[in-house]
Amino acid sequence: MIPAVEISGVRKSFGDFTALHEIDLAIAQQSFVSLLGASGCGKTTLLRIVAGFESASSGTVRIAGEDITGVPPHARPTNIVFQRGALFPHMSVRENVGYSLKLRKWPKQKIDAQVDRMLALVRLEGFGDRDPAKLSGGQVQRVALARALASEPRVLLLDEPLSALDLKLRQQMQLELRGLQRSLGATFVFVTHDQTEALVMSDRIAIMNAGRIVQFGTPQEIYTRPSSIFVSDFIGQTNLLPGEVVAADAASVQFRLRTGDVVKAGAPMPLAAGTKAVLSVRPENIRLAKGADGGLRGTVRESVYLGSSVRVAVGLDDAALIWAELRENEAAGLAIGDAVAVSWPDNGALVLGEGST
Amino acid sequence: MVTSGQRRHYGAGIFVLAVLLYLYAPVVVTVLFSFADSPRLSLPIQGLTLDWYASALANPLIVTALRNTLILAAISAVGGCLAGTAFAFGVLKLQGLRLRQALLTASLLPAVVPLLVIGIALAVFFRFLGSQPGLLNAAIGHILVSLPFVILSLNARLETFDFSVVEAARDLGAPPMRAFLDITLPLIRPSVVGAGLLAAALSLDEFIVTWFNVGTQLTAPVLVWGLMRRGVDPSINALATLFLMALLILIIASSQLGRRKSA
Repeated sequence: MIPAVEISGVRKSFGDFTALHEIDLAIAQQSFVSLLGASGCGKTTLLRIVAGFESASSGTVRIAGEDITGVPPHARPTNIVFQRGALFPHMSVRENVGYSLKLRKWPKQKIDAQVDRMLALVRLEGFGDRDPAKLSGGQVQRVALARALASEPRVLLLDEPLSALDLKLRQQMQLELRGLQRSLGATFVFVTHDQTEALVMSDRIAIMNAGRIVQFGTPQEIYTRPSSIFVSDFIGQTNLLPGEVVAADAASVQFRLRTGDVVKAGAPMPLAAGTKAVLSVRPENIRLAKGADGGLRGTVRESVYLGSSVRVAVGLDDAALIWAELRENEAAGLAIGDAVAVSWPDNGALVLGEGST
Repeated sequence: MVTSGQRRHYGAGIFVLAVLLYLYAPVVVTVLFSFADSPRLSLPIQGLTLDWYASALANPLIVTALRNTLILAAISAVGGCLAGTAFAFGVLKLQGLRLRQALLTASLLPAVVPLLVIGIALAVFFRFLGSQPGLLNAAIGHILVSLPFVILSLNARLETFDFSVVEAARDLGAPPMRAFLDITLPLIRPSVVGAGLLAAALSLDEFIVTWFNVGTQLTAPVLVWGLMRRGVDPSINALATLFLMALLILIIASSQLGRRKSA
């Protein structure tokens, strides 16, 4: 199947500053893809290049196979939902939603029917005659969504549309957006800096850092098989323990930690023996046992009650701190100062090269 | 020490009154005498009349001058608005912040150049071009005088303008001109009209630049200046009062419109 959006070799520089380095990305039709990264990583620039508001310094953008690199924004089959809605303040909700259809010279009856359908889709029936200034933040974003969807664009671009909302509303809108995308069978490209948001909604996530896509995969792939230290640190929480590769075979490596212990771990990239690298272990993979046998030796330093779990910090022999996330019953009986053995299943740890991005 | 404090209070009050009197007495006197039935400017006023207004409007010179003044004001409003809006937009779209500020400052500078200098410079310039003094030259001068103020007020509006709504319109399928007409213009219209009224107000009583460039044509301020040399005729008071009203209306309307963010 032809990708809904195909970005090839897109580079963007502003003067001396390179905002995007040779981006290649293919977004499948009917999928929900997030561009995830910290502010300044280039994710919004990339979205604006797809929308046509910025021009790429080089490279091409195709939508459904058609090269639209030089096409102005008004002639592109993409619509965008802005961070703060950007509703037209001098038009009613109805006029806002119908604006793209009026431009396409639809007959008035057809426009009215489509606007009603869109307002129903975002659960704002009866709001048609409202003034945008009299809407709440969540309603503004719903109208913006209805307005962007009204002309049935091939690709909907969303530029952090939930970031101005409070947490409860954001979580609710995340599910609504995901449901809407599924029921419409549309392609959504969603820009966000919020990793939870990306994990909740996306079929695939493109993680961006300093103008590059550092990993593109399903939320599960990215969480369990991060390709780099950056990704494993950025998505969720993790313990990073530096050390050196002792021996490697196709799927796993033997890794010597600074404490001198040698552990077995997975490796997404092939690493030669002798390479300096970092071991990444998610807190929820860590097991603690009282006593000193069956793992790395450590001492309980801190214990934090989080309601659904307990977070325990263990100091290793080399003074590195490692965090474990335990269920309450697993943490029972562990007190600060106790000697514990720290372990994890073989597939619960990954060795990531220092240099890999 | 309550009494001393209160006495000082009275002192301050008297001072404030004196300053206000100083500021407004000439205007008040002019307005009062425009309604006084005696041709001499003397108090107390015996009776009230509208005769001076009638005689002012019956004087063909005054009518011509008023007509010319209104034409100039209209040209200033429209010309100043078009040029000022285009310039304010142009400056805003520039990339460099420092360049933008430099251009803005350069466009505001003529506001502090003495009008005498502008008037003479324009007269010399028009002579160099071979353009005969007249209403057209004066109109060009009026637009020049009003432009810095028009640019200042429009720039203030555009700096707070959220251009993402224009991008939204473009994104939804509007070509650039359509987006401007559908979205940008309705949203900035109050500021543009306000700036136009301000330009008209500045033009109405402009004398110096006009005098150097209008040649033998009359405008109201030029005519009044000529009449005053032959002594004060109470119909001049009537004319001045009419002017005061027109200016007050324009300035108040302009500031009201400028204050509103959107239509």
